[in-house]
Amino acid sequence: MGTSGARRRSVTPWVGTGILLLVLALLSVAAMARPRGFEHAAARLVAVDGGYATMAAADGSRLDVETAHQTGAGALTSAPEAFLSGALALGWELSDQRWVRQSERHEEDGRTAATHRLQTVTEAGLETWVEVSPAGDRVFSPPLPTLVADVAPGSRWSAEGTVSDGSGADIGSYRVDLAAEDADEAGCLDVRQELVVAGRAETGVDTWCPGRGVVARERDGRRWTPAAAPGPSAGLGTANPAPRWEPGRWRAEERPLLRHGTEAVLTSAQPPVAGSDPERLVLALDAAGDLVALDTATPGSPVLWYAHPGGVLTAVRTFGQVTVAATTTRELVAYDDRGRRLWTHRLDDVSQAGPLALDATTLVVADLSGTVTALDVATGAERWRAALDSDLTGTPVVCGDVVVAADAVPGLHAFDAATGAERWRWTPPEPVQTVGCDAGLVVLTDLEGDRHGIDAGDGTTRWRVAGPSTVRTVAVVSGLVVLGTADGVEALDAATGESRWSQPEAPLTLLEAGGHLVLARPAGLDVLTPDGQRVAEVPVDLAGLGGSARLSAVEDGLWVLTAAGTLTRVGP
Amino acid sequence: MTPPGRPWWRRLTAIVVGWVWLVVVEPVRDGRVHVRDGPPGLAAITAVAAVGYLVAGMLVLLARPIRDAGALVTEADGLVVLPELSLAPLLLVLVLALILLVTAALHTHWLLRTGAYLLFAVPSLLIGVLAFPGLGLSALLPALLALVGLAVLMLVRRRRRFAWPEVLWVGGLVALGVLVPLVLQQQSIRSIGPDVRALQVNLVFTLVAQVALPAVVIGGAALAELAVRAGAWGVSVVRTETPRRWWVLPASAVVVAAAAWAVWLVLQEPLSVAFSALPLAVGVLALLAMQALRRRGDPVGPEDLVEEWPRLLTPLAVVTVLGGWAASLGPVAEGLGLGRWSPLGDLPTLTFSRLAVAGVGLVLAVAWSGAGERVRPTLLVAFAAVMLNSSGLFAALPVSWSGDRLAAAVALVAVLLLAGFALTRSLTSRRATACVLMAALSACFALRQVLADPISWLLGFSALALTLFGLVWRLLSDATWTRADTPAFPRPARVLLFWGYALLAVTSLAFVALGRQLGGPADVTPFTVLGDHLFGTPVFLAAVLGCLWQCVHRGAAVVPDIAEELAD
Repeated sequence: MGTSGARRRSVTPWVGTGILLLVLALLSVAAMARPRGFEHAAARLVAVDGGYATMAAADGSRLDVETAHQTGAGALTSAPEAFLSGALALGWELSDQRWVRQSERHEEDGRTAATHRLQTVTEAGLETWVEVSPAGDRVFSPPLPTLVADVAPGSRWSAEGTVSDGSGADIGSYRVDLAAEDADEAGCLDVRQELVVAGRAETGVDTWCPGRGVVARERDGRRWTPAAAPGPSAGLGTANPAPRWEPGRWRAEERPLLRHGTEAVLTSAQPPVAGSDPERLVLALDAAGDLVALDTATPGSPVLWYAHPGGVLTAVRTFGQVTVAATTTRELVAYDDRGRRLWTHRLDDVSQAGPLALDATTLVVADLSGTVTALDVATGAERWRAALDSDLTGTPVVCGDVVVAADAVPGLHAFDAATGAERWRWTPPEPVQTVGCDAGLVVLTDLEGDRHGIDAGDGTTRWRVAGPSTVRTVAVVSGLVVLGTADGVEALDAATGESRWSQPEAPLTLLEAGGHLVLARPAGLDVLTPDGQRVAEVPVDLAGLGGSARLSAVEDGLWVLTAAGTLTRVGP
Repeated sequence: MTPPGRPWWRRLTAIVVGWVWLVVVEPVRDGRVHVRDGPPGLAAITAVAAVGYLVAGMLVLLARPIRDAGALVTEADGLVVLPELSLAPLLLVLVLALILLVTAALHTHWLLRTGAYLLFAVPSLLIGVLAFPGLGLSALLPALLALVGLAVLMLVRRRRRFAWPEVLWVGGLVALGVLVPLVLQQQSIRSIGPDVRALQVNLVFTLVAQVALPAVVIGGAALAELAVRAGAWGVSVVRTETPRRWWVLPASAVVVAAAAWAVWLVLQEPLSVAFSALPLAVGVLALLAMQALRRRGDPVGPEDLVEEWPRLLTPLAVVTVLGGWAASLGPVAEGLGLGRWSPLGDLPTLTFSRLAVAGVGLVLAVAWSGAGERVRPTLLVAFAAVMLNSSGLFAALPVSWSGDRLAAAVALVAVLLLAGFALTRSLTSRRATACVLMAALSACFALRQVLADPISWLLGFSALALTLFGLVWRLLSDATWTRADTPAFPRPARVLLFWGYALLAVTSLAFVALGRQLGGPADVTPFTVLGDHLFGTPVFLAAVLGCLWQCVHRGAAVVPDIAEELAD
């Protein structure tokens, strides 16, 4: 008894702590795991998040389909207004819904029309709730059963219900009959649909392939089949116009986005960007991972197009008429100014800094794994690829005819902009913090706060200056090195590193463009000449943006996303 | 050509085995955690902590394949991008560390209890508040219940002896206060849309892992300590195992190799090497000053310094990290509109804090020297000299200093001393051995990063490898203090604190590795570099000062007695 009691006493702690470890592990998994979606046949046919299919018909018309997987009410706030109004009108439970959004882009005779569908994958299969098209908005109640859960060759299913428009006004009843059969491509299904809405019949066939969604379609005797991407349209601009600023006359003008008749509060970790046309703005909205292009020249800033690159957007840049988004799916996705997907490039890891313009037709991107790639802006064709010795640190910069990037070894590498060959490398004494440059000088700050001036041509050290402040931004402009630090702004002589001027207040963001410096402060923007003279002061509410301001330069001014979530144009 | 006596291969084997034993095995044997004779349950808790450490260590080592294998998740601002697969294990080891730290604090000083309570309360409440918009008061309820429960537990158990079920009670409360709100928040936010899992882990990590920074800094000194140990025992073992007439051969080889490397570095960067010798000069002057105050000196061997250094390291690292945090208050105060804050006029706050720490070190050195001690004063003098050079006082100079350049300067000094003693016909065996030891220490110190190279090869990054090496070495060899048992700080509390802290430190490294955040805001590896710089260099410098001491004083044993050590 005594022995067994002692044994029990010695075993109990092991059992108790083991159970504790198990419970903690289970709770950790519960806290971090997202519920798995349905895995029935219909779910397998839906395209993946960011999925893209492009089709062409014999008459030259084209059909592109993008798919997004989104969760909750946020997916509806960045979508066509009918998605939300329809959902609210029918009293749907918006929370915890796992939405599938399908955006179709139909191009014919130079004209473009978009159709958006709001769908969900449920136990019953893939259901379509709302359809927004140039013909009008249609809200289906009950949702239209696009694919039944156990869809297979020979499956037949049907449904009846009512259809209303986005405002809830009744359109009429609907009846749909669907049938699935084997498609030409193995594993794919042709789903024939006969939909009658308010007495009008629509028939067609969609070809669904596992993980790819709709890859072919037949409507009214016309058939769109899988096709290669058509390539960029002729004359596509791939370079942003150089800023020519006259900030003396600048003022701030709010250009709110109207949604459901009221000003939308926009939240985005990325600044709004514009390319060739400064009034056509592209936004990466936090709510759902969509790209949204707006026509800010029109009151209410109507949406020009929506795009679903997939995952969460880590950076968005414009190159003339081309918008390029970096995503957490380790991809770079490019769109033209009409929202057509131009190309997709697979990266080795996520790019947090996003792509940079290398020249008028080429961009360069560095991902976290340390791979540096130059791509043709219009086609996505790889021009060259280079690798750092380890993970990327900080943001790469283009310095004349070299691309300079730092790695975690630490090391600074300069690659030839034309070939990607390494031109020189420089070993910093401490890990790299920030890098900035112009065509002749690379300025690096290290974790000790020291600033190093390095010749961009051959990588030799020109000067070194100690400085204890944390440096957030480095800009080299007009013979000066301007540093945005945790303590303020410092300007050094680019030739010697000697101090030229300083300002005590630390800016949220320091931006160099158009031969000027823009200091974003909580109360507004200060525009300075490189020698530190203030030439404009524009009041804009930037307080509370978590340490950085969302602003980007365009030809004649700036775009700013204010703390209140309003788009604001700063310019003449 | 084999020396008389034992065959050469036996001697060589004895040298290698003895050296590895003294440099690696013995510190681990003496410094590891002992729980066998501890109270019931301590071994089981230690095993769970070891499992957590293993999980975190594997997350570091396998970070790249884990990242490549699955989907990535990020915060809204995209600053932290973590592999989805790693989120749950990261959270598990973080929570485990928190449980160990809070349980350890139950029986300690009220200040430590308060700190542990806050460490738990802050993330718990913040997670509840974040879930509040979606869930209302029910989001805060688990956190509040857990906080009340922990307060009661701390009150009830504060005067009792350690009992293993405490870890279960604390575990339940931490699960209730952190994990349950996270589960609720996950459901609440999911209904709105964005994926906040990376934000949640980052939040808990940011709030809890700051405490681990001193451990990471201390880990940074591990390589230097091993280098000094390797140099000292290397010379000792070779001298013992090599016949007297052959001893000159390896000794000459070491001196020539170190001198050649030093000359090469001087030719490359003469000013930097000269500037890097400043701590050596300051250290010599300080020791001479202390010698003037007190004539008699005890022998100071490198092994004494390495043995003593860990006991000084922890308070010095904590004070230095706190000084760094205080330095960051300047910009924060300015950002809050409280104006510029610098306690010493225009002198940067970091400079001030480092000079203040160096000053305190010097005061203690003088006080302990006056009491007849030699080891701690030597270490503190070396530390103060290094802090002086690293304070930023000489920031305007166009040269920088480093430990490697200091090592080159030391090697040159060793050669010059040898030559000087030889020319003045005053080269004794003791002086020659001291100079050889200086050269050997320089060589080992300059090559210290080779020790972490196997891990570097595995991880691909020297910074991560250095940090992991330092943390593991500390885990294996730095637990001597956990064997003491006082009413204010009982032994089980020490063991749990040791493991909790170690777990937190390695988890913070896993977070960096998995997020590919080297150079990012959450990167802790610069603190390892800082530790190597500020706390590794002093142990080398102190060993060198000890050798110089041997050159000018009689009666001191220049290298440790290997026979005595192996007999232990």
